[in-house]
Amino acid sequence: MSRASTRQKHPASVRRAEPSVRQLVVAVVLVSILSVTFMIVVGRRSATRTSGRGPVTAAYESLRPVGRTLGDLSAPITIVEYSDFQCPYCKIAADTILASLKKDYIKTGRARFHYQPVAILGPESLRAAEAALCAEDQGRFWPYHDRLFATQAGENRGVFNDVTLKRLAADLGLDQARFDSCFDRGQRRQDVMAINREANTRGVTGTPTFFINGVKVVGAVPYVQFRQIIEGMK
Amino acid sequence: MLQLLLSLTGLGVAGYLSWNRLRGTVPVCVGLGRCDVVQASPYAQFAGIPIAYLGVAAYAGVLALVLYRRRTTGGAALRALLTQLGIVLAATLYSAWLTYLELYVIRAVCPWCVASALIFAGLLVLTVGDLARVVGSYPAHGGSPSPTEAKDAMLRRDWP
Repeated sequence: MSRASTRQKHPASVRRAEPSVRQLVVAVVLVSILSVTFMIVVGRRSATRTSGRGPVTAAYESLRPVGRTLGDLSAPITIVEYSDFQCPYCKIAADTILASLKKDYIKTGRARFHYQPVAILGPESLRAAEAALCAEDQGRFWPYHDRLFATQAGENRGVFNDVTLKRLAADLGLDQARFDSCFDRGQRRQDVMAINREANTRGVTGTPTFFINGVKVVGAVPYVQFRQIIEGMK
Repeated sequence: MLQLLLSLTGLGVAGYLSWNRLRGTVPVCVGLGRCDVVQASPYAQFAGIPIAYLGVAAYAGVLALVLYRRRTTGGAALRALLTQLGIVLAATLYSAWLTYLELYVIRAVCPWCVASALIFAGLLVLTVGDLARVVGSYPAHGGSPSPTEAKDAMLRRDWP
């Protein structure tokens, strides 16, 4: 078919009635730009919430919390802890080792600390971990983490029941409806399962287990061992 | 053919990142960056959906459109080309934003993410090239062709 015959088939009046390809391209480009702008705005808001800015996390402000990570994201040393909220040694680690790490290495920008909540001690470990991740969605992981360990009392004795876990969220001023929706629907359960699988892959057989730039440290061992390993990495 | 190769490569990259996300493992960074830092950042997901999953969806969509365009002509091919343009343009712009975040906010770079951004940019250039050839092939009435004319052009296969 020649160009001339094409033009005959589509007279000017018909051509004017439909948008040109150029106009369609402009429309597609505009829709794309608007979509990306929307994604950037929503993504930034979500990231700001997750990064934990707010009055409840004021104590953590100097530690630059981002989700479950404390410290400078580009710090040369990365410490990852696999921990169960029902595990008594994990509570000891939180009260002693993490407290010292914050002071000596995290605040100074030499290390960043990432918390991986595993659920190996039973159903209440799972619910506590899920609740903590729901709190993370609102940028309150670390205060919630602290409250869980402060509340800890034995394993699967009903301490971490649904009512208590929701009350802890209320105490911290979280958006209760949002927290309840996340918690009741088990929205973060798959994430806890993924962390459990990751722990298995990395050979974690007990909690707490730490990895300092990949070097495995098992148990709430004396802080001096952490110091030795970290100082040896200089 | 190049678009097919690029979209397959991109699907592989996004698939690898998604596979790691599903398993909860850190992508191999081969000493070129800090994939663990980028993966742990809150920017690694959008509305609860890992960005890697969005990448898989985008590349799969582009791959499907490229294959579809090879098998079809006319208005359907034009619509597919415009849809492809929308996807790759949005993906390129969003990838550019993510690269900016890596460099200046997260201060860590994941080479897989940079590779994906470059692949999307390449796909954008090729898609715009295809479209330019369609638009340029029809200066019939002193302007750009109407969709009907573009369909005719595609039916005649006198465009790439």
